[in-house]
Amino acid sequence: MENTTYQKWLAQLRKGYLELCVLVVLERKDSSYGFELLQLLESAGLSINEGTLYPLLNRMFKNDLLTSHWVTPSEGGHPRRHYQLSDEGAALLPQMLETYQSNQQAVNKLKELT
Amino acid sequence: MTNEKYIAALKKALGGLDSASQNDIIKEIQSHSAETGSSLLQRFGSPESLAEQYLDGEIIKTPVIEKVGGFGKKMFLWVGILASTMVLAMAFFIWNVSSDDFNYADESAAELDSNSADWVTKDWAAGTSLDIEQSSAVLYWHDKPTVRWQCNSSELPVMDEGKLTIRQSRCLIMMPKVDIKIVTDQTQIVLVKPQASLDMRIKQTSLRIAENDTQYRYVVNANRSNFDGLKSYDEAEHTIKIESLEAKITPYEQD
Repeated sequence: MENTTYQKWLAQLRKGYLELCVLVVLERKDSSYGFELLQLLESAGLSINEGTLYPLLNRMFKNDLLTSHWVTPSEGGHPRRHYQLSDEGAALLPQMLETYQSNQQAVNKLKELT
Repeated sequence: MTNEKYIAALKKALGGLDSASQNDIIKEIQSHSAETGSSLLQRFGSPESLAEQYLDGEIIKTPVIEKVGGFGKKMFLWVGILASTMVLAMAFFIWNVSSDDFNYADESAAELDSNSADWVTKDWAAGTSLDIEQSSAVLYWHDKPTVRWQCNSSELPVMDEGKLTIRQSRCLIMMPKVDIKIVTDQTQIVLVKPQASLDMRIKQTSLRIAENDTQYRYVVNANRSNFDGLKSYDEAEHTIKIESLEAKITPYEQD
């Protein structure tokens, strides 16, 4: 497979997939900010760069999946933009997970075709 | 590239976004850069490609030139508004001159000829959208799971890849009662008693709605447009969502 073809496919796949991952993390953690999210995603094996994550968070915020507020760390330093699941995001997450899992099952079934 | 230069270039590239969004974006990436101890260029790539990511899917304001030949932003805005008004006035003049006296709002009107051979019938798949450009169309709703149309066209309507595309045509269309997305550009369109929820993106369009004693919930984002004479009811069965640019949205009145 051509590398660029794979990259295009990966970009398409990731668009929705990363949104789901961010929602899953924020469901577990209640609140988190960009750098921490980046580390959490990386620790789970999802390598993602900042130029992708921050615009994604911004888009999810604008689409009302997330809420956000600024927090100045107690130890000082730059304020961090903390994100939380909105009611809409929390309501959508189970649906997204179900769809994701059923798609995964469909691929597994297709792999068993003889 | 220093962080200051990076921020300046990013601001310029994000020009169409509102200033609150721009400030949040810049504050957030500066915070990230400070926390990681790396330059913005290293962490985020070029400011132009980062702005592209932020603007992907955004409906943005058209950037206004700062100063050209001594004319400022306001002058360009006024010229833009004047030009838009003239385009709209011209469109309505043409519409009035070319209009006919047939009452399209009569729900039985489409049935008069709908059995003739020049009506085309296609099955309607869920999720199909309607894309109309440089055309005039009257939409009715019927009880069947099909879409039917009769068009006088220089290009025949095409239905594939989840879209019914109509270009440079004058059409009567019978829609199934399913929710649908409709996109129009430079078009005159009449909706006769819609019987489904609609998600419309209309540009330089005259949209007229014959409610025929039915109530609708209107959710309208009118940009340089005129939305007049239609009342929204929260308890209505169907929602008509409209994003408009340089358009006019009014009740249908027989010409």
